[in-house]
This record gives sequence, C-alpha cells and structure tokens, in this order.
Amino acid sequence: MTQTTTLPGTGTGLASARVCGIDVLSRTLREADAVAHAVVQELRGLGARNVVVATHVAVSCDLPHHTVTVSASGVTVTETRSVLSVVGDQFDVVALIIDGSFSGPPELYDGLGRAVSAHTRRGEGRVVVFPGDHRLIGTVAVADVIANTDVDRVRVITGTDADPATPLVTRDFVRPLWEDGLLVLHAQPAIGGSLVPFETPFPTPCCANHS
Amino acid sequence: MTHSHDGHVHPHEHEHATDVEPDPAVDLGIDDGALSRLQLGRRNFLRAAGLLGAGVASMGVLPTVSAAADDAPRRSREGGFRWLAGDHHIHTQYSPDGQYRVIDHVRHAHAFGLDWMVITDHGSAQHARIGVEKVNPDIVAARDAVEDILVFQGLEWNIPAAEHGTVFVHPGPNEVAVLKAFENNYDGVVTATTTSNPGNEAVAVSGLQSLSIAVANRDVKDALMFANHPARKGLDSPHEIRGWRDAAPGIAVGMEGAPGHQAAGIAAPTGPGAGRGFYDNSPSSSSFPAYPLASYRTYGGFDWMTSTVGGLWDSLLSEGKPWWITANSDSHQVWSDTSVRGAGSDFATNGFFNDPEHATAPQLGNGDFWPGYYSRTHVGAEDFSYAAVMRGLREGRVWVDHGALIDALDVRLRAGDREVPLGGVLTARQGSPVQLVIRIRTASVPNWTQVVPKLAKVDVIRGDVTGDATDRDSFTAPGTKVVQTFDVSAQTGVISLSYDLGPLSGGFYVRLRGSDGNRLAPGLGGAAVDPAGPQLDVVGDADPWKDLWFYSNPMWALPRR
Repeated sequence: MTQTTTLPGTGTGLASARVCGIDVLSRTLREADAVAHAVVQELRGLGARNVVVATHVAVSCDLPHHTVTVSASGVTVTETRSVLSVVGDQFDVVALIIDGSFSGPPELYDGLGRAVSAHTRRGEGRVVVFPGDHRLIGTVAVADVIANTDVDRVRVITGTDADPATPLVTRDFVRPLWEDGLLVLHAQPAIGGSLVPFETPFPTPCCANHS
Repeated sequence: MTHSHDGHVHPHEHEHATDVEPDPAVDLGIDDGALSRLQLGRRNFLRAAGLLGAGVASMGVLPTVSAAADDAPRRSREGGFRWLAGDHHIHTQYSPDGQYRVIDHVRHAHAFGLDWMVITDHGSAQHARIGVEKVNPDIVAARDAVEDILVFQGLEWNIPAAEHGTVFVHPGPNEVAVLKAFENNYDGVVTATTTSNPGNEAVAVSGLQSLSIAVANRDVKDALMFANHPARKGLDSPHEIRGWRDAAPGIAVGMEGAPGHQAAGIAAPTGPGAGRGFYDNSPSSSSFPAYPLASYRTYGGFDWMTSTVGGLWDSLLSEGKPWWITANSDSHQVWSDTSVRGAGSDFATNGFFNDPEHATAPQLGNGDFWPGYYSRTHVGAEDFSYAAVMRGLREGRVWVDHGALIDALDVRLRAGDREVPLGGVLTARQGSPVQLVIRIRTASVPNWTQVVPKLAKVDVIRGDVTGDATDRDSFTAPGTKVVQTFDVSAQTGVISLSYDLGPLSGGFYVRLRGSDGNRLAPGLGGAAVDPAGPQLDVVGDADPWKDLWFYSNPMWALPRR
C-alpha cells in the first residue's frame, strides 16, 4: 500500500478518490471544526504534508449538518483510513469515504460524495486548514495573505476586492471559501480602516440552540 | 458548499405552493354553511378583523380583490390618527438571557416615551412551565402601576425550522392560556422542532393557523406575529416567510426591519465591540443556502431584508401583499446600566432570575438599549387602546426610526380627491395622476443622548406590483429603486414635500426612507438602484447615534378595472 492521498493542484493527480471524507453529523460549524482539527492533528502526527481540510453543508434525513473532507500528501490510504476511524470512533454515528469507498450509514453517502467532489474541484467548501494558514496570525496585509498562503483573493462582502495594502486583523481564525476553483477569503470592514474575516471565531450564541 | 441542498429545496416550494393557494375561508363564492368548523372560524375571524374582502386583506392588494373594497372604509379613516410609539420585543427575568423585572422595563419605556410595548420572553421548557404564567401578574400589576402605556403579554417564539418571532395577544382572561397552549404545541425549542426541514416548517404554519383559530373562536380578541431579526443567521428562507404570511394573513403581518441590540457595535472597551444588532453569524447547515454573505450583517442598523432596495422586502411588496416592518429594542441587558442579575439565581429550576442588583460599574459589555431609548415603532391608531394598536399594526400604518430622528411623519398617496395613509391601497382610474404627499416634523427636542438629530435627506422608493412570486424563494425585486431624493438638510420644523408619481398605468408601491446623512454608500443593488443607501455597519465600531434612519411602510396604487 503505497498509494497516497494528494493535494489537489500540486500536479500529482486529482482523482476524486484521493480526497477522503468523514460525516459524524456535526450540527454546528464549531463541532465540524473540532472534527477537522482532530483529523489534522492525527495526520500531522503521521508526517502528512499539504493538509487541506474543509467543511460542507449536507442534508440527510431532513437533518442539515456539516461534513468534513480532507486531502494530504505523505500518508497512505491505510493511514488515512485509520486516522478517520480513530476520530470517528468518538461519535455515535460515523460515515466515511476513503479512496472512493463508503462505510457507515448509507443515508450519508450522497452528502459525503458531493462533499468530496466539491473538495476535489475546489468548487465549494469552507476551508479550515490550508497551506500557509499558519502565517495568518495577528494582523497581515491583504497582499501578504495572497502572496504567502493558498488564498487567491480577499473580497469585501459588499462585492469589491480588498485593497492589497489594507491590514487584515485575522483574529487567528480564517475560514476562506472555495468558489469555482479559487480560494476566496471574504472580509468585512472593522475598526480603524482594517478588515476582519467575515466569519467570527465566537459568534453571539443563540437561545434557541440553532446550529 | 450548498450543493447537497439543491435536491431538497425545490420539493419544499411545491409543497408550499399547493399548501397555501386555495383558501376556502376567503373565497366568498363558498357559502358559510359549506365550510368546515375550522374554515368558518377563520372566515369569521377575518370578517371580524375587517379583513375579508377588504382589499389588503387575505389575498393581497391585486386589482381583482381590491376592487371590491374600493372607497369608503379606508377614506373615512384617513388622517387624524394618533401615532403611538412602541416596541414589540422585550425580555425580562423570565428569559434565560434576561435580567430585569417587568416593571423595570415598563417604567423605562414610559419614561423614554413609548405608548405601547410587548413583553416577549423566550419560549423554553422553563418558560412554558413557569414563566408564561408567572410573568402575567407582573404585567397586570404594571398596567395598573404605570398609566398611559399599553403593556401586552407576548412570547418570543422559536419558530419551528426558523428564527425567532414575536407572538402577542390582546389582553383578556385567556391571554395566558392561549400563549401557553401555543408555546407548548408550537414552540421550536419546547417541541424540538428547530431543525430546518419541511416537517418542522409545517409545524410553524400550523402554529400560526392555531392563532387564527384562537381569535376566530374568541379565545382572545386578537393576535399578531412578527418575524424577529430575520436575516441574522439566514434561517428565515423566503418561502418560509411567504408561507407564514399566506397561511395566516392578518396574524403573521411583518418582520423587524431593524433588529434590537443596537448598542452591540459600540467599540470596546466602551461597548461590546461586536456586530451592530449582534449580527455576527455565518451561514450554517440550517441557513437558506442562496442568501449571500452580505445578508448576515446590518446596514445603517437595519436588517438586510429591509435595507436592500430591491431586496427581499421589496420582493414581497411587489407581490402586492402586505408585509410590514418594525424596529425594536430586543432589550435583555442594557448597555452601561449599573445593575446585574440577582445573586443566587437558578433559572433552570425556578424559570426566572432573581431581581437585579446594583453594580457600581456600568456594564459596558451589554449590547441593548431600554425600550424607547433608541428604536421606535410608530403606529397610527384610531384611539389609545390595545385593539387600536393591533389594528394599526395589522393595517401597516407604521413607520420606524432610530435615535428619535424625526418627531412625526404623515404620508399620503393621492389621486384626485382620494387618498390613503401608510399601509393603504389607493385605487384610481387608469391614467389618473398619482401624487405622494409627505409632511415631516423634524426633531424638536434632544434624543436620549442629549442631541437634537438632524434629518439630511428623504428617499422615495418605488416598485411595480408584479403579482404572486413564481419562485417562492425569490428575494429580489429588480425594478424597485430610489426614484427621488429630497435634500432637506437646511430645513427644520414642518417639512412639506410632494412628488408626482405620474399617470397611473400598472400597479405600483412606494415607501420612504430618511437619513441623518452621516453614513451613505451605494446600495447592494448598485448606484443606479440606490445611489446613497445605508452603509454596511463596521464590526466592532458602530456608534448607533452617528447613523440614524427612518423607514416608512409602503402604500400601493392600483388601477381600477
């Protein structure tokens, strides 16, 4: 078993099978992020490189939730399966797609398959971990975000590209979105003419426990 | 990100479309005797409310319906309304995130100039069991203790599959029983139906219909529902809003045009430093996937559905059906107040927090204002009564403002010797010249930050009536735009404006918006649609007093057939 999962875009092949996915019925983005980070920690422990982890919206059994997809280089399919299984074991319900093969409750396969396809195409998805993200700590100029990370564009939510000189106060929490093959970080105006990423690390909680 | 939703969204639409279309209760071609008990109850309710066959009413303001209603009833009511300021979204110590007694809110609301208010604690297991009953004697006592303010009991409903909404009833012997039954049967948290799916969406519709029935059966004299902070989390999809409106016209009548929590954007450490309105969420798995990221934030303190010219609100209005906006405090814990929750509270067990206690330090992390302090919903009422406030709200004689931007607004849509007030439907012959007549009294006294606000401009927004939406998830009205802007920055006192809307051909509606002019930007639909609209609020740095707006509700003009 020497086959490796591969980062899309690195020129080493882009088969859909090489992106893996895990669905533990995460109801909130926070829960999905926890799954994503658990996967990343395990993968990096095995020496994985070029790790990309994303979350996707899925609807199964009328239960909207978030799935998690992952691609990396430097780890075998067997190792990836083991990592996702270890993470999934902490949950009551878990479905996996590894190397194109599903396991777990079949109702979740459709959503997982779509998520893996979206990750492979970089068509859609909310990206939690991506090459260069460790440089997005503190305040970084928009130009440096684009130069030093996989982020392709920084856009203000009202519809314009951010000025490259504008400081982006990252709040150490950056979740760009794939949009038609590009990794786009959406941002909004913040204090003192700066920008902050659109997604807030600690959004105001809600009494109704909506996800 | 949203691909997997696609296969599910469309079936919902069809279900809704067939659900809501034929309503025997409003079809006067069907005899009373041919209706079921529920249908008859609903018809009697609509009749009692003056809504059956009365134009705006049940099925909209399209010519075929409104022709029957033509003249007299509305004309006799024009002008001379008593404009009563109020707030339909206020939390007390019976909310799990609240703090104050009922009387604390009532005394402040009265002092800050409100005439009516609705107590709306969150639906919850504790509230359904304890709070909904225990708050009532507090409300009854406050009605006695503070004269000249109308205090309604309501509920902040966790709308199944959606956001929150205000539900409230006319006071009476059954006000608690009706609210309690509603909460136990239809609150999303109490019944575990918050998840966004078609089954839960149907529970919301049933809940609204149950209120229609409660009114028809005379369990309570009246009931209303408004959607609260509708765009905050993307949970209220366009087809759900249309579904509520069409399932219970006269009950589900509108939404918050501006959310509460208007102090939330005050920069830290003076304020919470959050998003204005606490609008700081991102799309989740329960969000309507087609909403843009821009919809999750406020613009000049107003919700995106309302602040976007040619946006969701306009798409509803262009159908020719009523859907009104309000502005409220959502007051839970007041910015810079020097009290905190009572020590030793056990909300989970008791269903309330102990009475508040003094804290020396001003609580600068709180994001709310007292009712009446910043946000006001002005209702044109025939008299000072609970029934008249509810009727004015239902009929859309409503305008809203922030920071006491103006003292009074009187708007008429006129054709010849016929005219209608806000919320009204003017019918006239094809080709009749239609005129908009506006009287504004500018602020004559300081607001609660000790400043006399200055109105800089007034915008007239116009859109065509295009009929029922073919796509019930549509949230755009491409033809709607700002057609006129009046610079009134040099004027104080009474400002009289008029604007010729031309000879009447197709049906259209107009609405007004005004600003202090401090923060303007082209709207999300582009400068051709809205050259100087409200700006996206800056997260963590939005002083609400430096960005004041008023919005009116719409009026329609329709050609007589």
